[in-house]
Amino acid sequence: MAGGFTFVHAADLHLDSQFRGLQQFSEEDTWPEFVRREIRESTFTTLRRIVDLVLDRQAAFLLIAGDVYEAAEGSLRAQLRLRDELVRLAERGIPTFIVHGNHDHCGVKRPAITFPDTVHFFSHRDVEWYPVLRQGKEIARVYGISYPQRDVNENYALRFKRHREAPFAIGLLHCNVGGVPEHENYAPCKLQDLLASGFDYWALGHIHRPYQVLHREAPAVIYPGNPQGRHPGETGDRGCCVVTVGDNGRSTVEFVPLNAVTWEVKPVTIDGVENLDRLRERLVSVVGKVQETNRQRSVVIRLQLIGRGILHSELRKHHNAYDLLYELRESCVTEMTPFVWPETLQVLTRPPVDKDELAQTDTLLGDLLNLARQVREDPGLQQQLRASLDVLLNHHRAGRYLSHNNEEELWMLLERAEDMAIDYLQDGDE
Amino acid sequence: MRIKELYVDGFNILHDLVLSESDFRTNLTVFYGPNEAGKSTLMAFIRALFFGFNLKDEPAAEPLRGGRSGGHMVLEDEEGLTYRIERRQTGTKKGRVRLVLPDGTKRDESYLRNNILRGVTPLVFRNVFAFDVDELRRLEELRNEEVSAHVWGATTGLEAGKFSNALRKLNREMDDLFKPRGSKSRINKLLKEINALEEDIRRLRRQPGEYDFLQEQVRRLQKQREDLIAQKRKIEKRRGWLQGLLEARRIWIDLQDVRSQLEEIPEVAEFPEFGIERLDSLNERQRELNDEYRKKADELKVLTEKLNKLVIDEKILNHRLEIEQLEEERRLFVGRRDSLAKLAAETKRAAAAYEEEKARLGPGWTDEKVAAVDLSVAVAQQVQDFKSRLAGQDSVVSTSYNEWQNAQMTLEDKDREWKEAKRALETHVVPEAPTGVPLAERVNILNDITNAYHRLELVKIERNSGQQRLNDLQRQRRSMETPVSGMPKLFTGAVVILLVLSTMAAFLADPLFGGIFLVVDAAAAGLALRYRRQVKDRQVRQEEERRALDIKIREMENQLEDLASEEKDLCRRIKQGAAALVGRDELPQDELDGIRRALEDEKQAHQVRANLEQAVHKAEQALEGARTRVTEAEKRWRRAREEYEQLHREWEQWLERQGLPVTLDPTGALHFLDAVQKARDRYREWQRAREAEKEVREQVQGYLSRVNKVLANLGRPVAAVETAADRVISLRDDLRRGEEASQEYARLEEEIVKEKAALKRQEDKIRQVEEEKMRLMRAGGAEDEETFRHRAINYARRETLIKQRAELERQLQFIAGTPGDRERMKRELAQSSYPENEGELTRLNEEMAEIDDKYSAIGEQIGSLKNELERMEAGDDLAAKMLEKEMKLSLLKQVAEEWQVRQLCRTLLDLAREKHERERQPVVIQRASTYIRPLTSGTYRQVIAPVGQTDLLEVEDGSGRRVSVSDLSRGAASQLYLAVRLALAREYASMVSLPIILDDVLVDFDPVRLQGALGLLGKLAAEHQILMFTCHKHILEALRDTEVEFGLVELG
Repeated sequence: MAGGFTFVHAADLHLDSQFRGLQQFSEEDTWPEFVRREIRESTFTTLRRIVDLVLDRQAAFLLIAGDVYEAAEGSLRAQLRLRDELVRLAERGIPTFIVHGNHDHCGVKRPAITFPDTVHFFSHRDVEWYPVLRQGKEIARVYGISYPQRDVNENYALRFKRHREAPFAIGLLHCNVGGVPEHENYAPCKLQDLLASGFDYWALGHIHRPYQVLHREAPAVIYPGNPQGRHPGETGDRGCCVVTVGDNGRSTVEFVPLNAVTWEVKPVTIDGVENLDRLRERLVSVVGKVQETNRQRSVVIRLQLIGRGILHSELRKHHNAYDLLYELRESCVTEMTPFVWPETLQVLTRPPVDKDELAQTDTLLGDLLNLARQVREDPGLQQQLRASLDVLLNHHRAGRYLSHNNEEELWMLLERAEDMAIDYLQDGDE
Repeated sequence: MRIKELYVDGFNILHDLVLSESDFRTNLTVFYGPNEAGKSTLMAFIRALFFGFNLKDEPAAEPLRGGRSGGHMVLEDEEGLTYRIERRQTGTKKGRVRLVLPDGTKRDESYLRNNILRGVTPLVFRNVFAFDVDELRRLEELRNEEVSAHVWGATTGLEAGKFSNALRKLNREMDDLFKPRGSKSRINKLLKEINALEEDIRRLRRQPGEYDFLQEQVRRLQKQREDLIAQKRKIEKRRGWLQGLLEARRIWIDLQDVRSQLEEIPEVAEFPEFGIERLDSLNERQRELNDEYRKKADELKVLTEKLNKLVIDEKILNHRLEIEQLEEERRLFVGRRDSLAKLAAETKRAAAAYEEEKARLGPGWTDEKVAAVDLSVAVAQQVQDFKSRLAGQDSVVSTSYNEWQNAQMTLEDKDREWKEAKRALETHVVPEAPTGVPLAERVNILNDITNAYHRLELVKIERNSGQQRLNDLQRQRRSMETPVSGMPKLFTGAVVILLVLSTMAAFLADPLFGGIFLVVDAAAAGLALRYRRQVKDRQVRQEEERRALDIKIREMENQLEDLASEEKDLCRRIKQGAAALVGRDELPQDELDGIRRALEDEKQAHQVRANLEQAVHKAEQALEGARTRVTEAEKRWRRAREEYEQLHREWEQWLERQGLPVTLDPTGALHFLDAVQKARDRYREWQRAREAEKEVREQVQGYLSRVNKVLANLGRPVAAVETAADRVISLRDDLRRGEEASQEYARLEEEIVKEKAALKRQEDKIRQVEEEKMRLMRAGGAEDEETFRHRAINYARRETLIKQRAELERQLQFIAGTPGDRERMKRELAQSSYPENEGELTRLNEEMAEIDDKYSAIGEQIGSLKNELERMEAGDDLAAKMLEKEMKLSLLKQVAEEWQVRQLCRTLLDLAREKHERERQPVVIQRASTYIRPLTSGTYRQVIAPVGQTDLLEVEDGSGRRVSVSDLSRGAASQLYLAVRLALAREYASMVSLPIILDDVLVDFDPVRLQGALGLLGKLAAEHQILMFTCHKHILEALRDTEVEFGLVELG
């Protein structure tokens, strides 16, 4: 070893991400441009923070383990911004090592952007390696391979062969170790494959959960997760890893959160809330707390109204819920970053009735509730209900964007349909 | 509840109709009569009693055949309690109702509505309890919520109309959300927007490819531009060459010409440079030198003549130094000479001034004495010192004198004050005391006497009142000595006897009277006994009071004795006091105030005297003090005066020592010293003036003697003081003239020597020029000047042509560039012509213009492509559109879920309804099903009511076939509705039971079904009062054919 050094390991930048699943409350709910811009820019802001981190920690090099771009063809903007940021590192002579993953695989042609010589994109043909030199002496050797196309079913880990003379061998790979079900099983491999390889550090990408340490030491096998959440499901703080390699070749890893926008989902119960004013106060308080705990980054918060209560029927009126959301934004959001933006207000409340009890009665509603429950056991009935949805789901235009419901989704819809039947048929409703 | 009695006073065509209890004996009562007999009116009257007159669709309430509008009805409930409902036409439209409860309480409309009718509205009553054949068939009324709620309410658990409203609402909402072929629903709109966004995104997605394409284009265009630049350079080079050719052709022709000229002139191998010019120049030089030689010889001649003419005065030149010295001092001499008179006058004036100052000091002051006075600062300081000391001591003397005078005046004041105080004391008189008892003691005695008098008065008053009280008590005691009077025993006995006798007499006369008397006797005896007991009690009480009075009297007597002895003591105290106070045995109370005033005056006088004595004492002390102060002040003054005199003697001695007049005081001494100073100053001034005058006079005389010495040496006459200056001027002028002549002589001598040397040099120069001319001609290969000149012309001509040739060659090279190019150019010039070159140049210019146009077009293309590339690099349109699309997709999913929830809800509702209709027909419909069989003689077995659609009733026949109401015959439909309405009436019975009134509803029934219907009504009547109106005899007959028990009321 030629003395200690530090490097930064990031993955899954998904530059220019589409941010699937962002919800407006309704068509009339228009979002201000500063919010949209902050979200659109968030992956780039995070990239800038990663580069700042590299400079700040005087890291020897930067690793990006795949899915640099959201789209394989890579938006022009994404590539130009990546280049601009990496130029900052190049100016200090800091090299960057990048492999492409399933999202930004090499199967399509990307615009010819010229990157600085210090930026190394690994080939998709076979594992390549680059030495990292400091004052003419090699301090580490980075091995990596990019995806030639989206679906890679081969265990790439087995292709990685360490050279005996490499002072500190790093494997840069976009893969699914152990078949994590929430992500596609690309470049599947087992942890044992990585441990047996003789490498000193496995810089992995593909799994978005923040800071997944599969093996702590000798070698450290780590997924840093995506540094910026891509949709409201990817909640909480995200970032990348700063790895410090000591003189003895032992590495210590520090996870540094640096996402620009944090996604949050906050359920707020209406239990015990007597009126809309009280509920408004409760929501303001929830948003206020989020504001207090997030002074460094913007938060897009999805508020879910849950529970049973007398407010259910009030909230079922579209304008009431929208007014709540609108007033909440009026009172909590200022046009300054970081901000807390209440994304939407999902009304998931239930009517204040005991459905089990209602199902016991010989009333029409009782029959309806029993029927809805019967669906789970009666494939014929289920089929009948599913068929009733086909007019929309198989519609020649709508069908392109809407998928058929899996069982869980169907049960959820049925539950809401039951609630709706109760709302519409019980006393008090118009 | 059933109708027990009914009375119509006046209602439409009904008047004074009485239906008594016997008419309603049975639960089924048939009202039979022809048309217009009043059957329907009677039903209307019953409705009016319940709900008011003038209801919609009811006959007018106004009596047409007499009577007061209104009437009453008696209802009987299940427990036999009766309620009387009376309604009269009043101002209000509905009329005024009076409800009499079983206990006689009277109530109003609201009680009737809430407690008797239990919320049954006129509509429900007309639908369920009292209807005619038209109303029976009015299908839509069954749809009414109030009614249909009863059909379904119990089993669906829903409010009336809920179900259909829910379905309508769901359908409406779903239409708002999505229509498969629509464009305005939310989902359809969203789809449209998403499509548009996708189109934009597709376009923007093509950007990377476009970007590459554009970059490639830029590169291609840049290459083209470079090619054009190369081409341009080539043309420019050729064009430059051609322009050179055109420019060089003239030069080239000249060069050819020069060459041919050179060949014609004979060659002169060498010739001195500038030979002709040099020859000309030497000739010219030779001429000039000769002219100059002649001129100089003339000048030498003139100079020699001038020298010979000059005369010089040597004598005066020998005295040059003295004369110059005298001339230098001449102006000073004149000044001194002229100032002599003024200086003499000044000396005189200063002497007089001095004498004047000296005289001021007094007689006997000589110059020496004046000079001897000491005028130093120390002396002046000593004078100042004496001055201040004398002034200080003088002030001490006058101050102490003033103090002595003041003390004397104070002494006089104090003496006066002492005398006045003594006089005041002597004149003050203190009154004489009546006794020898001291004043303070007498004051105490007076107070004691005053108190004794006050106490004496109180004692007297107490004694008088005590005496009176004693008298009263004694009087009271005496009055108690009389005993209490009882009833005289004799009188009692007499009465008893009288009573006994009268009783006996009465018995004898009539036992009744005897009895009466006996009763009277007994009463009298009772009264007498009671009276005796009261008298005895009074006597005991009197004895107790008497004893108490005796005690009080004794106490009072003791008290009076005490008071008498106190009075005596007081008189003694007064007497003793009077002796001490006024020296008398007695002192009446009215004198007390006078004595008090006298004592006050005495006290006052003593106080004044004491004050006066104190004042005299104080004045004496002050007087003594003043005397002491006068003595001390006088001492101080005398001491101060002595000190002053001593100081003054010292001063006089000091003056003497200083040689100053002893009469001077310090201020005067200071003035005198100033005067001495002035005199001394004047003396010094006079001495200075005298010395100045003497000095000037000596200088004037010295100058004059020096002048006369020089004049004597030169042999000239002697000068006086007044002429000395002029004579010096004349000497000066003569000296200057002599010097000038001497200088001119020396100069001329020097010039003549110089001129001679110059003439010699000129001769040498002329000779040198001649030699040089000879050398030049030899160098030009000529022996004479003419040959030389001819050879020079040929040589110069050749030289010029050679230079021209070289210059033309140089110009050609300048145009062509390198020597090689020049040779190439010469060749090309020889091979081509001017028009050929010009033609080619024009062609090239045209080509060049074309290339320039192409070049700028390509530049513009590159610029616009680069702009496009920059725009693509900077733009985030794609990201914005993608975000927009994702948000729309989310919204689409959200809205799609809304639709799916509603769709599922609707499907579930349909399924539930189907199940409900199949499995849970409402009780009403179930009951109607049991009625439909007898009503349709078994044709139909079941009535079916689809949920929420009570107007779409269906019947099912024995084979299970369902027939909807619209497909039934008029009669069968009537039977179906009668079944439903009767079932409803039964349903209502659980809440409120009202009589059922059927106004000829069985007219459509065939005989068989009529029989069935009447049988059914008979059965129902067991639990429900039914009033059946008919004008059809066959119905009455049919009823009679049944075993149903009924009452009959014939109307009309």
